[in-house]
Amino acid sequence: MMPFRSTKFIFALSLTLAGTAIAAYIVLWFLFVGEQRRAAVIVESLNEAERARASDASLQVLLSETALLRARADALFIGKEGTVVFLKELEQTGVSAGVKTTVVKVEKKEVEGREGSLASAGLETLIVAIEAGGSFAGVHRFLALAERLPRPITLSRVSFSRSEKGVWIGVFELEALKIK
Amino acid sequence: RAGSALISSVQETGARVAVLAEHIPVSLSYGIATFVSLRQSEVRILAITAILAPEGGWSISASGISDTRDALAAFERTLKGDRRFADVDLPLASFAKDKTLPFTVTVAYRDTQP
Repeated sequence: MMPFRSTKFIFALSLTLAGTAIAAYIVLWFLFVGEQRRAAVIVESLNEAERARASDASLQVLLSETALLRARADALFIGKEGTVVFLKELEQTGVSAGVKTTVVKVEKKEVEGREGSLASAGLETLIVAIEAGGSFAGVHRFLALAERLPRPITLSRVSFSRSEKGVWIGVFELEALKIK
Repeated sequence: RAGSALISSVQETGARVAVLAEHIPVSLSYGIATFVSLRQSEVRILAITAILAPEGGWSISASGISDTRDALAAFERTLKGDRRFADVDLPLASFAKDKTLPFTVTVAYRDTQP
């Protein structure tokens, strides 16, 4: 009887060992797969960081290479503190046209419609009204010169009127873009 | 953070360039010079007002005095015949007097480039 018991014992032991081995294999397999996933996530994060670094570097190069051009483009707008400079430009334009100028209004345009897209460009609209007095030719020349100022200016209303003394008065309402 | 600052700087530059590209200069001075040149010497213009139309172009309104009906009628005909101007409006009442006719004429100026 001993040999039979021994065989049964060995069989049971073998089954137990095999079961344990299978369970251990399954556990290890899941652990392995989990680690593999973590490793893949880490590798992808590293790749993404590398791509971001390369993108930052190329942006830096692009910004540095275009700095002069961007400065020239920005110079077309009224600078952050450039309102006074712009008004002097308009007055100088009046001198060139041979008319006497008076700034009658300077204000920031209230936000509406297009102002939203301007905000994304870091810009705001300045409304300026300027009066120019002199001969008709002079006032007209002032208009022509103001239109040709190297700035994105939009004239919204222009009026010319002849006074009783024969002097022409031009009132020009314009919108100019200013860096915020 | 540095990356997002760079991207925002590039986006801002792009938006500014787009603003510059969208800007279409309108030569109102050319329009006014043309308008004034179309009148005869008997027609004296005393005031001009130009308002930027929402759809582009300008609405030019001028008032003055014409010495004769014929000169005022000729001015109206010349304006109507010039394709740079449209919607010429000179009220018939302007022709009521036979001499020293005060008038106000309104036109749409469509030409944007000289």
